[in-house]
Amino acid sequence: MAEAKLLSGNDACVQGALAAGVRFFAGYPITPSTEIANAFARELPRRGGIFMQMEDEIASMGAIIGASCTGTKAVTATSGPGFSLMQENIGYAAIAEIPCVIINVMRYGPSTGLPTSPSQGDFMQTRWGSHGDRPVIVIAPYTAREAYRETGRAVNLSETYRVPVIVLMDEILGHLRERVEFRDEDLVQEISRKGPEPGKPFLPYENTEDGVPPFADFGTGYRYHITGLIHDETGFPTNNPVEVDTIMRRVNGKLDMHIRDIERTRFVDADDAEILIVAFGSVARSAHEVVRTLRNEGKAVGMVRPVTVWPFPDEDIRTAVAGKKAVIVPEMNLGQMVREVERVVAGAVPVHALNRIDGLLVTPHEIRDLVEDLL
Amino acid sequence: MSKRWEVRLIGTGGQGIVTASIILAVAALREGNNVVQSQNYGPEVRGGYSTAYVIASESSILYPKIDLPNVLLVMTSTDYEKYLHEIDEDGILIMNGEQGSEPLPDNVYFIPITNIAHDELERPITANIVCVGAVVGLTDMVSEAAALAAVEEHVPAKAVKINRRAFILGVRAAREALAKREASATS
Repeated sequence: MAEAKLLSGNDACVQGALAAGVRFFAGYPITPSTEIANAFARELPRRGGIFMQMEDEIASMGAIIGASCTGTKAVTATSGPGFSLMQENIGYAAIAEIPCVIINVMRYGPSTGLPTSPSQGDFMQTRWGSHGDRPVIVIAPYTAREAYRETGRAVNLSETYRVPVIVLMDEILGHLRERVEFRDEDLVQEISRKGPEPGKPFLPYENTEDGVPPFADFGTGYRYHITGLIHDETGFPTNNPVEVDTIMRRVNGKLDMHIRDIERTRFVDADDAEILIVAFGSVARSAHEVVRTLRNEGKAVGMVRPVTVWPFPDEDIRTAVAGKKAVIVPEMNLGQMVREVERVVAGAVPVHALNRIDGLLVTPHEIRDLVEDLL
Repeated sequence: MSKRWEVRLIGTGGQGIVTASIILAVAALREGNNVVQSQNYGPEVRGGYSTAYVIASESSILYPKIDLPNVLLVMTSTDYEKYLHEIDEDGILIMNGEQGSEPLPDNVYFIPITNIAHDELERPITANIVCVGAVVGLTDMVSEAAALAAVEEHVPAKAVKINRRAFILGVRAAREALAKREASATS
């Protein structure tokens, strides 16, 4: 498709977003995500798009939600402290069903933490960070090439399902540059939200069969109400228990209806493995290295790597772990994804957490030591 | 290139070692290798501790970090003993400075990087390109031609000439250090 080039994880996100048709970025610079803002500031005006530097991350989310209401594909990027500030408006986008993409380049927390060090401490926050039940799709790439393709996919899923999508990066992937050679399968499509059917009455929050109501872009002639209050099919507030139950079940259930389209899980030598490593993001690179090394030595080790980490790939994990001797979940936190793995495995196979919280990447060496103990 | 090259550059923020590492990465990439380049730094813009690294290999690079590099270049100190345990057992250590009178371990080289940039080129800012030359001259990680092309690509158009010279002087100093080492080994 194109010649090999040196591309950073952060720049790859920007290129993937642009390829999917993103034309608006609002954000507040923060290490280690700042290069994303820089690249959008450079690239968007050339394409007739808009870059806005906001006063903070609350306003950044507000701006991309507003831009998206006009039908413009919109992205913001942040890290730890900024991501915490965005949670209120992520909940708003979820219940108001406004497509938007948030790139969170994880750094070490809590609070200001270690601004230049990596972490996977936001795994649970991406899913549960807002108050109330809200849907979200979270995608965690592990190479620059994948960051390109998956950010493009994030934009498209957000448009298709009218849901906020979070691209979950980390400092290591954001800041490294690596050889990227795009192939045909990396081609990013441009998918836009479905609009109202001409001639048919428009209900902005219609209880459609596929769970996703049509979106009338502002300025296209439709007058309707968007609110963070729980609303009925017309978009106006309601506290009627039946209507409240209906919209909450539809909004929170719509992703389950399309789960095969949303999930993406990668398997490396998992079928005949005795020990299975479940890892995501940069830690999965260490895990993959261990699988490669130990397979060369004839040892039965494999890896399952959720690319879509939320909704958590319950079925893929359940199937993959069946009959294994043990499961290892390495993470750069005190144990977040391991809780999901334990929930899914439900005691069928022993699950071992391997946690590193000194600001450094889990090494292949330490994963290997644990694998060899368990073999 | 048959081995996995792991090169680490240590300096202070503002010295241009990140650029030097990118140049090495691009040169290795152009020669058909897989590469990963990255850097560690503190919150300061200039003056703080800064390290950059490159991994180059024919096979795909999964683990993106370096534990013990096989090339370590230190811009900020001449105390080589402090860094001997920070390289791989078959690795080399490149120190920025003039070699003293005492004999050095076989894997340690002194290259007067700052002096070359300051005195010969009269452009201290080119020290990072002298670094690139030093690494290329002391190893067979990438060819001189590929490295020179990458240097030219990554410096401002008006500074191509001076940086080309900086690269060549870095390579030359490295070759001289190698020749001196071989001469003393055979004597």
